[in-house]
Amino acid sequence: MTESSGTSPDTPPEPTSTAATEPVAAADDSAAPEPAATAASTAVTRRLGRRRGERGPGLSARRRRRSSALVLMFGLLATGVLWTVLAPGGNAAQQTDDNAAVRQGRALYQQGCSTCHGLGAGGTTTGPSLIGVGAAAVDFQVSTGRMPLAAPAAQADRKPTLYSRTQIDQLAAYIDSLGGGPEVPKVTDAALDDADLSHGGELYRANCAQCHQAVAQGAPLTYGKFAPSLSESTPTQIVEAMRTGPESMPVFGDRQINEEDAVAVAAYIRHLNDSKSPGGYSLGKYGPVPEGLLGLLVGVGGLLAVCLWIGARQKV
Amino acid sequence: MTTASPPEFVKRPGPVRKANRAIDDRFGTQAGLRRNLNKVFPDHWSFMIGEIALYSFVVLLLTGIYLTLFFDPSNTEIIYNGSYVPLKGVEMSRAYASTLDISFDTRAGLVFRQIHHWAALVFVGSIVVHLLRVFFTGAYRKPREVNWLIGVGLLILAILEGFAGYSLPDDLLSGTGLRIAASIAQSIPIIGTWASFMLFNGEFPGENFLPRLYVIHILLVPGVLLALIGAHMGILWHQKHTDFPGPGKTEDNVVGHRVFPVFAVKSGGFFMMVFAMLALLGGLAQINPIWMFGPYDPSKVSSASQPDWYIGFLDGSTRLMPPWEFRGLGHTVPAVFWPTAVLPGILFTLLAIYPFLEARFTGDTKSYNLLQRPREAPTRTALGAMSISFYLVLWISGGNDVIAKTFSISLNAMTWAGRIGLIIVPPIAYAVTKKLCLHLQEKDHEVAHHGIETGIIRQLPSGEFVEDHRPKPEPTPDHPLVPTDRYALPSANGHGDGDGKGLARRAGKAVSGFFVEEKEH
Amino acid sequence: MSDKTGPGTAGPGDPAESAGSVFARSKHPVDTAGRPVKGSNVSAGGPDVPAGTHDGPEALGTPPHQTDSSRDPETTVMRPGAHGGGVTPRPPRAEDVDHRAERRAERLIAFWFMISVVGTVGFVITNFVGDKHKQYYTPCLGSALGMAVGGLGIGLILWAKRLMPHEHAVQERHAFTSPKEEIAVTEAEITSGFADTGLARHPLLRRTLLGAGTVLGGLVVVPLLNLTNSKPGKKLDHTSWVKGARLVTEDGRYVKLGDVSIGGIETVFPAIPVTAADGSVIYKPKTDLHTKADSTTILIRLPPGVDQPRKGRENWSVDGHVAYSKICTHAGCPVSLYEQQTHHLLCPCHQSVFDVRDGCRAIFGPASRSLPQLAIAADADGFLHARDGDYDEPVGAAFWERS
Repeated sequence: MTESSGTSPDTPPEPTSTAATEPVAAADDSAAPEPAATAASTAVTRRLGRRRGERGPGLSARRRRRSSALVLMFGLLATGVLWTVLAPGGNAAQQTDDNAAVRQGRALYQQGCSTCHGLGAGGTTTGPSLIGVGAAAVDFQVSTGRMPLAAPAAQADRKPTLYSRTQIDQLAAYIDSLGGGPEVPKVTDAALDDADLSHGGELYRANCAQCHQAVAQGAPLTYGKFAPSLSESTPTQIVEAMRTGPESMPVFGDRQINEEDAVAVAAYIRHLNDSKSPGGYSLGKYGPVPEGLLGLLVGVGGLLAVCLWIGARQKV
Repeated sequence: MTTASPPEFVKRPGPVRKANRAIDDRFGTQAGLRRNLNKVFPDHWSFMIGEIALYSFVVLLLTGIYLTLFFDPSNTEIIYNGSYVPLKGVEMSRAYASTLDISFDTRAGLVFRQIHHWAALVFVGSIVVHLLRVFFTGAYRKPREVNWLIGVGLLILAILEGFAGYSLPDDLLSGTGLRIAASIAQSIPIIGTWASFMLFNGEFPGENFLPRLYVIHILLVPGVLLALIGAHMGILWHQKHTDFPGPGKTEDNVVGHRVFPVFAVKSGGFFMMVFAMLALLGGLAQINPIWMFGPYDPSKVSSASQPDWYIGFLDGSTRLMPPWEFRGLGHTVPAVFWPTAVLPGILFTLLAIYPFLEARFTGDTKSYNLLQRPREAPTRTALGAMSISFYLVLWISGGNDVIAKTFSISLNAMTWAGRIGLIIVPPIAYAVTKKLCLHLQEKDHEVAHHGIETGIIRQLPSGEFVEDHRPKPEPTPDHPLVPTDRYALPSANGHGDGDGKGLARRAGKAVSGFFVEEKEH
Repeated sequence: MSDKTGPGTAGPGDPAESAGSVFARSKHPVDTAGRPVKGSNVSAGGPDVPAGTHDGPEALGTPPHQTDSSRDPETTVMRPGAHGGGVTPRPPRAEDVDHRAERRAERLIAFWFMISVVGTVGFVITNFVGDKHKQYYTPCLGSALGMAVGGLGIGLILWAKRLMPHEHAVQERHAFTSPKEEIAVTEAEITSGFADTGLARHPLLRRTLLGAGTVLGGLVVVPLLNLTNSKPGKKLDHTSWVKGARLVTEDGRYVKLGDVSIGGIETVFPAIPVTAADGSVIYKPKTDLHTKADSTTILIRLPPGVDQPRKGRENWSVDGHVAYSKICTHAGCPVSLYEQQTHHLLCPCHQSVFDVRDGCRAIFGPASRSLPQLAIAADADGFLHARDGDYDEPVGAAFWERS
């Protein structure tokens, strides 16, 4: 019966041969980082509007340090707006002049990040060195709102972004200039739509589900740390997290999961988040615990109410 | 007042009468039919909780039969090519693939699958609530200990049956559960390895295990369940239902509605309501979306892997257990053995023998038909509360990862809270409950002896202030007592209330149905 | 039902009704007020008070008159022995006295029965016409089925509550204990029957029967042992890893040095080296479920200097790559929640925590044994393989035969 399973590595019609060629392609890309980064940033900027629009209603979901984050956000947003208005050059200049982006990024960095990560990004006792972490790490941490940290905790949690897309790109450009790391990946909608969903699902179950839960709802780790829910994560952020391994998360480099497979994983997570549940209300997709509660409270509880109704004496 | 005079024998019977007479010619059913149709059941709402379990079992049978028509309990690995796109091309067992087909490609497959699963949760849930009702009212006392034992057996079988069903689809969640089950079997001293091999037909995951589990789930356990449910209800029918004390109610009578028609119609309606509740849950609330978990693979796991709620307390006990593994003389008793095999063994044994323990310790060997209020048996109630709190700590710990994530608590803190809570919460629950019961008893005593406070303050000539109490009114039933026999049989009338000596008289009473009859004044 | 409305039973409009049928009584319950019931322990001639006697005009400071629920016999007196003093008639329902109320109730019940019909029709239509791949399909089926059975259920219950006689029937219980004479006779009959068998007089017969029964009972062992085709033997002690087996991923990729980034993990399986006819070595990945069940291994790349290998295991890792069994030593779940900052491995099933730096020692939770370590090495091409062959101890959950 399990004879056929011996051939399982070959059965998913995945081009494993491309896996071998992919790292070479990736290496080619890294040889010319600047134009690639710019192209990526513009692509990301274009998608940002849509992405933010989606995130709107999601903002109301569990914001623990909301008030402090809000105050901080307003302050920083005001600074950011002032900066973009007053800063020489602005958007148009940034697209043509990378050095300008790095300069602006440095200014932003010194204002918002240097307290913890040090003036030269070499790290302090309160924050790690950022030299060599790469643009992807910056884009991930800042675009998910994890950085700047609102308050020290076991782990940074997702919160509203404090920086504009342009500012994030500038910060990323600055950190990238200190020493190269993973770049911001290019995840296009077309690539997501073309991705092999079932292979992405297999990779997700093999590499991600153990922490982020089978339906990407997240789960706790040890001592207050946790694998976050991926329901608000964008495909770009997912690939960034795989490449950079933020906080507790292990790194999944492109020699482990190549570009195509990474996009497939992101596509699968997008499917988990977006797909409608065919069986009615999904109960937070958290499996037997909410199911048991509903079964006992509504199922048994509701039927006890029916018992009471049947047993009640007729009003006269 | 009298019952009506004997009716005429209908000379030209309709089809129903004809059928009735044909059956009676062969089996002599009339007296028994009359007796059973006129049987009286008390009305209290809490006596219907067991019915929830019965009816959800019927729903389980109905939906289960539908599912067996489409489910393929096979371990054979195939490549999925059904209509659920994210699993296309994935290798999986035929059991999992056919569960996907039931969910996506079978008409009304998903709704019946979901009803089946919800019914299982409600089935075990209502058994537990029914058990609590029986426990806290002392309904298990003599002469009903055997039915208590059968009930405990039903609970254990229901849990096993549920676990088998949860494991059949061969998805990631159920496979993980089976893996743990194999480890538990393996942990039993001396026979463990053999037990695990015999269960799974070899080393986990075994050879063709699913067909074996399937037979257990659809034939073996349901068969025993059905037989035990029959015995449970047969004994209930024979011994008659207990009732709460009340005006006109004694140890020697039952007050309520007769089976035909009111009780039967109400029960029929209640069955429909149970079915409707399960259908609504099955249609509107998604349960066990196995397509999101993926096929089972021993190298993969999803965090927050949970069993269904009724196994949760064992999962919790396993999580709370310190790493106490006993090694020596070349042998090991693994840590997993204590919380998953020893603990439920002790718990269910204590549960089963509780009626006998209570009789032993109280020295009370009398038979009872009237129930007690929880406050009237403070020790029992306190023991019950203690057990519930113990169970709840384990149960909550079984979902401690989900709770930790939902409320941003450290998982390790949850584990420690569970470990400490398991030791200190039950004694507190015992003490508080006992105090509460005694206090309530005192209050009852107060009211019975001094009356109810009226709030009227009176000054005595001596200057002292006293509050008026008025006596508690005698309780009055708001119903007339009517005879249960619509027609009296002359032979039965002749014997009146013979006190049951002599077989002939007893037989006569059996015919007439032991019914109270109002005498004409 | 229809046949029951004949003269044989007490249907409404039946002559028997006026003669005092149940229906008649419950419709006019006052008729039976206060009749003590023979056979029950209701004290005869108790106060024949109608309900509401205690309800005088309300005055300030007097307690509120009893509510319906407090007058409810089940909740009023629950102590055995405290029987009510008498029987008072239950006030008739609106349906009992008001013909229009009765009609209303009838219409209401009929309405619910019609709801049921609508639900059934809805179910049938959704089932056959609905698109089973659409999201509405299952919720619609469930709601329609709920309506179909629920409508019938509500209708039936209303029918029983509103229109059927609201009686309280009393039935005697009988004691279960048989009369002494009967016990004596039965016991005597069984004793004499047993004597007739002669078992008491023939000890040889008795002993051989007992022996045969015991031996036959031992037959149960046969089907039990037949449940497994393979004996445990030493199977739990071994996995599929052999010396030189390459570490292969589920996708069939052989893991090389540098594939896994620092702080990365990879789940690997054995690829068994097979010498082909021409002398070259090819590798056969084993990723069937049985191999996965015990041979699944987690490869972790630790930052330099973090690993503190145990004595004798100094050469079991390559360049920070360490390989441990992924099967939890507690209950066999795949331990795979790796925290790359703290180097903890967490098992999601029962939350055992293993410290990867310290030889995957169990540091929290119910697991008591470290995860077994697989000695790995890299060949000339950088491919990682099992250096010494299998794990040096059994993987997964412990068992009795394990030392």
